[in-house]
Amino acid sequence: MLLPLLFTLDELISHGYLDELLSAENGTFLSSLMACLESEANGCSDVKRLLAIVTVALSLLRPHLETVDIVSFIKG
Amino acid sequence: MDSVDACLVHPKEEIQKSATKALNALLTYYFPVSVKGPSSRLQSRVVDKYISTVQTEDNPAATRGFSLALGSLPAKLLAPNCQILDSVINCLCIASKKTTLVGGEGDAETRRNAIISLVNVCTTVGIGKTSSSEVVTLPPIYRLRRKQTDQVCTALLEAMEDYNTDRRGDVGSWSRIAAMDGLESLSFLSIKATTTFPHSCGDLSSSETPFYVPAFQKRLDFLPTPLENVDSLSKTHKEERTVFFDEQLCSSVLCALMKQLAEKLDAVRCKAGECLERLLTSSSPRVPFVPYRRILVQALSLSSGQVTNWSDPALTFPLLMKTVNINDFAEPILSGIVVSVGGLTESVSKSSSTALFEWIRGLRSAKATSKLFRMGEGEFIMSITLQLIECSLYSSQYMFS
Repeated sequence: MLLPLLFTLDELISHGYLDELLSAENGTFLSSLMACLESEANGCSDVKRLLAIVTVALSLLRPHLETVDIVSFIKG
Repeated sequence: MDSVDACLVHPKEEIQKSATKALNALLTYYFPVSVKGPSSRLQSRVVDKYISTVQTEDNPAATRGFSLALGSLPAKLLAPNCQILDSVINCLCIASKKTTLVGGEGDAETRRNAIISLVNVCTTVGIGKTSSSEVVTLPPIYRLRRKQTDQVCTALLEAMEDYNTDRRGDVGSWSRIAAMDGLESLSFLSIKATTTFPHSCGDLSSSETPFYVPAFQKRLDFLPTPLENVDSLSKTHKEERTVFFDEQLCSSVLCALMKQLAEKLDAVRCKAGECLERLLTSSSPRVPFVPYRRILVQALSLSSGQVTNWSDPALTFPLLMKTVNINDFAEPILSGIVVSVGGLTESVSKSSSTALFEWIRGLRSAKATSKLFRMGEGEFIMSITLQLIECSLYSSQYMFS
């Protein structure tokens, strides 16, 4: 169930359909999303899942969306 | 009986199915049951043995065969009293859970057979009290009560969330397909057993003769009891009120079917579409408590009378996304379509993503992004973390667009 969800997230983010959500002033969606991706990536040995998580994280890396959360996730 | 039992544990599914038919015929026409119920020897030889095998056996072939056999038993053995019926239903409900293991591993066929049997038990035994007009059966058969139907419904709704996979692929879909059939049958049985609403509804709009309500005095003539005795009448009427189908159950069944209609597998979508079509268009009995029935029927093109091929993704997803604006169904449809958009089948992924993106574009152009926010806050995060973060839906209400 998680893999299709990550693919869908990537599709939505890369097409810019979640821009309103991601750039919302309170930023709850973005920080929650990053927390979820981090918890899923921790201790995960499934290569396909890890690759999908990285793809979603990378698709969030855009100048107008870049936040401390994303940068710290990528560095970590 | 011994040779039939030996065939029930055969690894081949066709032989198991034939054995259950043989078992039903054998127990129906032989092994008579007295007014007091089955003898203790017959009881322990058949029902108790089958239940203990399903619960304790490590051989998957045995649990598959005996769980299927439990559903094919005649009513005289399944429900001579409340305790036996309870033990059969309990055993099958536990066997149908996605977490139940057989010999240390999950077994999709056992789960599917348990679901099929649960529904068969309900149809064989029946739901609700025996009405006085019916011929009293000998031996007596204890019908399902509200508590037991609730237990079966919960088991079927849980089975709709069975997404287990193994090397054969999405084996949980077998359980989901069986559960969809089961929920449809159980809904109709529950509606027929419920006495608090009318079971059929004539189409008043299409009738040629106008519909008039007679005057009060004329209607008084039809009263079986004078108005003075109305207190005692209402008391007896209250006693006869039996509710097996309510708003909550209707909503749960429809939401579960809607989610399956957005699924990636053609067979699952086809079954969900067919079940929904029958539930929404049936006039005798008519399914009550359907939220936004007219809009739902129109959106899914059920009123045109044309046969829809629900397994065709290019046809199903655009129809389905018309209903996503109904708040009751938004969450199940979105959680279903997420699986399809991210799926591996190109045709399903393409059709579903086109429908989803079109809906989002529509929301954005209508400046209704609060709905998108709801999707982000609720659906996606809930699916990702499932246990970590509680789903927090936005409380604001949206206009139906």
